Amino acid sequence: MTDKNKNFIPIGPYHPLQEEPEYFRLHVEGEIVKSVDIELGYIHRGTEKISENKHFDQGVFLVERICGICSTSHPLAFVNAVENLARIEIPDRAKLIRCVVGEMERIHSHLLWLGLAGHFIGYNTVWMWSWKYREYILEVFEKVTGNRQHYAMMKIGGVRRDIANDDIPWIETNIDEIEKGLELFLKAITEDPVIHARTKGVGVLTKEDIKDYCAVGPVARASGIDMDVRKDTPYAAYGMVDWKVCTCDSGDIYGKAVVRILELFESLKIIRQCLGHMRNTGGPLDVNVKEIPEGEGIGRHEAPRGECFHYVRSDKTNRPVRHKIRAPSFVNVATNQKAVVGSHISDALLVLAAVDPCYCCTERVIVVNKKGKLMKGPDLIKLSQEKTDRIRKKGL
Amino acid sequence: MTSKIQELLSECSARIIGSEEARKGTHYIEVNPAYICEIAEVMHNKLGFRFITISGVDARKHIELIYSFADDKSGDVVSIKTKLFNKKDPAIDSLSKLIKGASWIEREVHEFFGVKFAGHQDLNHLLLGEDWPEGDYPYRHEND
Repeated sequence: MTDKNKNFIPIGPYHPLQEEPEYFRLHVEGEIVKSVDIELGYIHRGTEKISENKHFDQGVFLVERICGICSTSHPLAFVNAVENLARIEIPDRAKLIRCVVGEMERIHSHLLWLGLAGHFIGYNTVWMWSWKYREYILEVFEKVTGNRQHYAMMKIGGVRRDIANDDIPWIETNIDEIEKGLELFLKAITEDPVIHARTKGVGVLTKEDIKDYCAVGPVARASGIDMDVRKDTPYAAYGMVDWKVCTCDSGDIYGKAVVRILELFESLKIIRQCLGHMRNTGGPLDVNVKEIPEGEGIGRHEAPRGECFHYVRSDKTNRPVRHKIRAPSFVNVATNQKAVVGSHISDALLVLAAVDPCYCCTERVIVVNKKGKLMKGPDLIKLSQEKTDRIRKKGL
Repeated sequence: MTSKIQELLSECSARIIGSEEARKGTHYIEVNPAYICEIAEVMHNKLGFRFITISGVDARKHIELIYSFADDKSGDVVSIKTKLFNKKDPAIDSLSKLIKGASWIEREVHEFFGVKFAGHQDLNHLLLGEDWPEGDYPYRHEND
């Protein structure tokens, strides 16, 4: 290193704990992190450009593949955008089903994060128990949608398939099982001194930081900002059910964990009410959408990680002329530039993971070689290795 | 229309070219690109809007930038539209000093549409590789 007083620690691009590629360069003095450089782009696929070549119905499937964890968040935000553009009002039963699927996804996503967070701090019991209870919701997904991931439930004008009223009691039994697990986790988080020692006062973001970085979702709510798209501008059936936005004032990792667990209780409440309404709400699952008029539309959905934003512009053809996607991690990951500063190196990994980052969402991509040659897996790996080499050389 | 949006319209009336509430809660306001920082400052600092993102659009004859802001109290989304007619060298003032959260999206719009954000401290590539050819902007229609 050129300056002996300045050291840095590279993390990535293959993250030692997370599944997705990203590169953090922690600049440290002794054990303390002084600043961080974040390098993205390893999984950029140009989804927005691909969408311009897909008709609107295909677009739903395309955006579903942006992310495997929140695979109904992008479709829901996209159909909200197209329905906003075309002034489409969907039937009540479709609204309820959208809500049920959206909240089930939140449950599985938050339990996934909780398990990983437990694993990061070396508390593997939390990891195993959390993923055990996550199985209950994945079983419901498999039965209701046919898949554990990529549910393909959303369509422009409604939903693609029904949830049978006969299945509702069985779904409710699974929901009850999850609630038992949540009580266990809430107790573990709020009472365990080891978890307190690793998470309280670590990676703190103040209200001002959240406003500066425009952070969203549980990251913002853990710093005392009560924003939630589901409450602020109720779409689907969120206006038909009773629930509250959960916040915490501490802004640290502990606050983020508590907010996520409390949100899970609210998600269960929403699902139970929606299932109750569904027993008495029949009717069609969709409306017939003949064409998408010229114009522009904005759709938002409160994904597990925060507000997912889609902007669609149509020129009256059957495909969008522009489709902009802003995933919640795009703004939340940037808060690491503040949250990790001042942390010990040993805490940095947990701080970087506390925003529940999703790089697939942040980068959205298929890479086509500029020479016109379609690149395959090994080519992409080679590109990635070359990029890492360049970054390393730059840092030295 | 909420009082906050009415206040925005009256405060910046001299700067606004046109405005419409396209749908309930979805507003579009067109402004001259020279005033983007002024409008953003009023929205972010004075009226408490949250910056969401910038959507770049290649509208063939010009580049359009749509700055979306949310009012989390009322659930309204206000999108500020600006048109950059110099497609060879589109430029606009950067919001990154005013709103830290605008820094990354300005880098993204810069690399995909070739818009220069004057005053941005670090307009390096965010998502594309550093060896991406200069002057090749993949979201422009010239590449279709």
